Amino acid sequence: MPGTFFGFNTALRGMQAQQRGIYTTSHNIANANTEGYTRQQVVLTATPAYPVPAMNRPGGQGWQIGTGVDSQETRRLRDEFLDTQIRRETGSLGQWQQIQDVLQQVEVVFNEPSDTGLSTLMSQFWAAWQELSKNAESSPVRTTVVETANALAEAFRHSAAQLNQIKDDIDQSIELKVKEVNSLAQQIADLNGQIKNIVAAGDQPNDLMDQRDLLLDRLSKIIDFSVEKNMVTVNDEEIADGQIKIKLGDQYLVNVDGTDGSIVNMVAAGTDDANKGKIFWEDSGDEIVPANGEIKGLQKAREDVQTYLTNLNTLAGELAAAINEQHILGKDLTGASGEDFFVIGDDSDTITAANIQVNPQIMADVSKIAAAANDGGPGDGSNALAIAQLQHKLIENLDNTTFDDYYKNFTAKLGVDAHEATRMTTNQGVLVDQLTNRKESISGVSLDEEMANMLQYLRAYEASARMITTLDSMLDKIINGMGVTR
Amino acid sequence: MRVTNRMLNNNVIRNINRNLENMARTQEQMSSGKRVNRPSDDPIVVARVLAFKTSIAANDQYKKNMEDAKGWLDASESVLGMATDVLQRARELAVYGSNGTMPPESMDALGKEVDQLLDEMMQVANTSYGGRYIFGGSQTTATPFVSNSSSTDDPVEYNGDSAALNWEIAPGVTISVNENGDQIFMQAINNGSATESIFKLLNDLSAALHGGTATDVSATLNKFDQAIDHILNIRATLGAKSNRMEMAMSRLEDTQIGLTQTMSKLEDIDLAETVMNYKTQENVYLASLSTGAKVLQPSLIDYLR
Repeated sequence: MPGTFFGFNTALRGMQAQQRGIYTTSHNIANANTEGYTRQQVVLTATPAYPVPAMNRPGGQGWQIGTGVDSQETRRLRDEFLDTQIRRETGSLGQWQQIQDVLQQVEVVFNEPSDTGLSTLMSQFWAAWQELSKNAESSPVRTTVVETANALAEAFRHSAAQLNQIKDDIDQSIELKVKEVNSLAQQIADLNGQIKNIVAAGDQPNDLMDQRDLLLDRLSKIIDFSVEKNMVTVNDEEIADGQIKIKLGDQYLVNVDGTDGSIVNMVAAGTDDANKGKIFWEDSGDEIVPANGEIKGLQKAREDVQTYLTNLNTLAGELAAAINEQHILGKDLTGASGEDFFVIGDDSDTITAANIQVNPQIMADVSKIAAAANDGGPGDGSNALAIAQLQHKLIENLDNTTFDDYYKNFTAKLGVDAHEATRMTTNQGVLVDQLTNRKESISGVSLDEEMANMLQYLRAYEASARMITTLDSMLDKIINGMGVTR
Repeated sequence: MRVTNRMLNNNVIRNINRNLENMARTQEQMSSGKRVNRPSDDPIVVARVLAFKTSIAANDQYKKNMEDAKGWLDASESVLGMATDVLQRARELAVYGSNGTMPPESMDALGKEVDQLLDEMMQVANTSYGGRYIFGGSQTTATPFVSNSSSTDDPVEYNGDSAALNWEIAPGVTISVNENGDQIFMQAINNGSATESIFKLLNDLSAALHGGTATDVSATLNKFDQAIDHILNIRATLGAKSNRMEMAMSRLEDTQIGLTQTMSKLEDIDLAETVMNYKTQENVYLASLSTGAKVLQPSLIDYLR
């Protein structure tokens, strides 16, 4: 038989357990809007029955009595599989967002279709040569040729400068992302240390783990990685000590060294021209090639911008070469042979979009435009016509297209790229939203549910307290009401 | 599925954002009047619009070239009309002077009129159009026909050249807008062994009237016929070219209308449709706002006491 005061303990345990439930409910409600918070649940189990079966157990055979409740743990309700999935898709989202962002800027640079884009300026440029072919001796028409050519050259230079600026911005963004990776890694390493200590003491650091998971979510948007649990051997058994290791590619960003401390391997961004846009391990200097995430997106966008810049340079270079080649065959108003029409505006050796400019000699004296054929008089515009006719010439170095078509083609490619980036960002956003919803449906706090739980714990607490009153009145009967003699 | 308050929040915000985004896009279309405002809006349409724009701009230029060419051709034609008038008057005078009954003073008077006609013919041959001599070949800035009193064979010298002014009227298609002054005036008459100029003819007539014989005068008559025919032939060529320009221009105009219409279909919005879209999107947006407000409000807390 159990002792006289047996029931008190059972009721007390009940009250304590329900109290824990109330506190956890309160914690959940308080964190209903905390980013990265995982709802917690008190796991209640019945305590071992009394007596424990044995040969000489009190009270004889045939009965066992429950001893109440115990709160074993307060656990996080979380699906680790979903975490991995969300991190993968968030990385992909980050990648496309960066590409979309950059390509939208590039679209603004080219500003097509509009009346101010390169396409319109090229049309005006050819038209000016056509006018000159009809009015070769006219100084105002010559001035128009120089002015439209100048506007075209300026547009080339401006576009090239803006694309270079975008590239510089990308490099800076990559540097910032690298700093963020290092900072996140450091924070995760710090949390590793705290979590390890609490786990070693036999407790469950739910909130710290939430924080660490949130940092992993953030990191996943920047770069792709894998997570390993750190295992230690205790009594010949492999158990997790609560620390995690993070692997980027084939090396560890966050690792655990021999003395069980959590350490970070820093990442650095390339700084010299050949390495700009790339990222490296700070210690070994090995390159890291991300497969996903914002850094990967920035790197891809950088390549795209470089392609557009190369295309623009090719276009400007070929245009200048073709016009110069024809221009020097002609004769100017004074009868002298033509000079180069376009020249290099800086100290490099080839004409590119960044340095193309109208020959300053010609700018200063428009009579130097060689509009006439070699034996023509001042009214002869046949060389100007030959230049104007370059508009429809197929240029070998421009994939055998005309200047206009080459430009049109790469504008179209930019459109397709930007369109794809927008579409992928939208789709990826929907996917991440859906996964986040699934995660939220497991880990998120429902206020309705918490209120219901609160009432449930409250009532159970009240009932346990009532048990104590009941037991007390039973004892009152035994002590004060039984066998009283005067 | 378990639904939490944050999920509701997120959904409401996401939907409101999406609806607002749709509205913003339609607003942009309405304010710009264009369906496509950047290459990514519709890459294929933008590529086609760019191609159309280039074609339209090039065609505009060709149309301008043709208009200018027609101007030149018509001006040349009308100048040569004046040259014909001068030649015809001179021929009339030659007819008067060749009947042999006229006293020398009257012949002299006729000769004086011919001298005037020679000056007139010089002016005609040196006509400038828009500040350029139209019969000087590519030497458009120097007077092409200059008197040379020392030679009776060539009383006028030609200082122009024989270059054709070729203007482009379609890709790769050029037309010469000027007629060769040397050919028109200097090589007008075939005297059997060589060519003679109109100026020499007028000069010869003048000399014949000023002291020659009626036979000398009548000897010029068939040369005048030749010269008039020669100019008429050239005028016919100019007229034909001018007609060709006119036809080509009207054809190009049709093409331009077609191109502009197709481009408009590609790039311009249908205003009625876009406004309808906008109204629908606005309604959806307002609905998402008001449902959002209703969904987010209540929880069990509102009903517990």
